[in-house]
Amino acid sequence: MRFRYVEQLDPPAPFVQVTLRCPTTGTRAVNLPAQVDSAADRTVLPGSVVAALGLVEDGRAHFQGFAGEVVELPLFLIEVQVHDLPAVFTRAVLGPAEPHILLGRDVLNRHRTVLDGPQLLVDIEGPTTG
Amino acid sequence: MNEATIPPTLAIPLPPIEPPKGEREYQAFLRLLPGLLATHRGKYVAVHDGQVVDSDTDEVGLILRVQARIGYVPLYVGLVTDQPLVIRIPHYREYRPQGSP
Repeated sequence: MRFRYVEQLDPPAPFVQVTLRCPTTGTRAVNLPAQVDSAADRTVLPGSVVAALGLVEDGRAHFQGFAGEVVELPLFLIEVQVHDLPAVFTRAVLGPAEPHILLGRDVLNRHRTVLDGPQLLVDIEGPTTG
Repeated sequence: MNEATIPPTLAIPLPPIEPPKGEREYQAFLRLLPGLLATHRGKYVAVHDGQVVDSDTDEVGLILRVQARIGYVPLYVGLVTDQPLVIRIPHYREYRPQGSP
């Protein structure tokens, strides 16, 4: 699956389209933009997405940001599907101030992802099983 | 000569703030942790209404099983360890004041 970088951002950024599904209630949000963020240990969901899906927390964890500050944030079990690729489970974290989904290595490491910066293209395949 | 009068001091009682259920379950987990380290070390436990209701080595399976049983309500599922993980999300956007190029 191939996506074009989002050029409204400066510098342009790799995004893919994802569908999120709550495995317990079955609520879905389809074709949401998600920024490919290989620096993020965990996938981050904006508050608006958590609210739209009606997610309730199933845990908490401590998260450290760029400046070293550590905050406690809620986790949500969610199915993440990149376009029409098979879905994967992850426990995503709430990012109260994030405008977009951040697709972290918890999901990215299940896929083969190639960033072609000069061509502003992202290719993503998978996910692998196991 | 005027006598200074001291106005009465009013105490303003605030109602106790009840933390949300997810936060209460996490606090219960922290209270239970010393004992859990002896009985469930290396496993995930699910805490609901202040008590451990299930455990497993598979956190996803545990969450789905417990939610199927108690409903889709806030709970705490976490790993029993004395070395809690700090997850890094070193994400920053460049701040550009409005009107800047």
